[in-house]
Amino acid sequence: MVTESDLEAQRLKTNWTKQFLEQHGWNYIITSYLDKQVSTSTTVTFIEQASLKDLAFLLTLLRVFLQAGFQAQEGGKIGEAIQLVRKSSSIADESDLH
Amino acid sequence: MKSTEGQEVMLNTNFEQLFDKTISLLATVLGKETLIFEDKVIIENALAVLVGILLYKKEVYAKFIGFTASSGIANAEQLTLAGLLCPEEKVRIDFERSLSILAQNLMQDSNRNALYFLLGLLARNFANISNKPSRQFFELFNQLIDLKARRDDFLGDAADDSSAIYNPG
Repeated sequence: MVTESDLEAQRLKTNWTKQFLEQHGWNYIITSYLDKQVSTSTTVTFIEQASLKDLAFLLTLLRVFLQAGFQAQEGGKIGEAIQLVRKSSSIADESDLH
Repeated sequence: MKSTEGQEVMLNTNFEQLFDKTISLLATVLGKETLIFEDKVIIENALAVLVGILLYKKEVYAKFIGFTASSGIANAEQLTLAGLLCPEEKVRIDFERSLSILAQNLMQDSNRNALYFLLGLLARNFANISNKPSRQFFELFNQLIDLKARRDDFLGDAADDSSAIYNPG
């Protein structure tokens, strides 16, 4: 059963996405992602691991928004394909991003 | 996300640029000697992004086939094999699924045909996979052979020459 607080939480999440996009959030994600470099050294320092975590989160965000974009444009077919790529092997928790 | 917001995302995206960055990133991460948790998250999401772009903009397939890098994993063939034979099972599974989706959806003609590219690549490297974890390699190869057989049945006399696929000149 959907409660009043569930609806309020859904409204806040929807508004968050809308406001994020209105304030050029998507451009920020893309620009930040394109600027990122990844270290190939065999020993990972604390700074490198933090940078890798940052890149992994950014790419997860990018994939979630892009998947929603494909869903909106292509009647869901490509969005479903992306979901299939990640089916059951997924380790990225994105529940807070929706 | 509403469809208007989704469309805004699509309108403000340079897919070619995003593809170039993501395939380079995937090759770099996959070329590491050992993969940590974050590397596997990056590979999983990079594959999802690449598959989405390739299905949405089929002309970008030429960029995939023509991918080259100056160090480490140097081209699309090495990238495919590195993923399918990676010591990490999760990475192999992600690659098998991604490549299977590409083979099923990108076979417009013999020049832009992920099915033929992958069939030829796996057939040519069959002898080089001993001592490597190859379950996903074999599973994908089986799927591709089935897909090719179904396609040949459908095309009848117009089916492409198999020897040219397995041993391209």
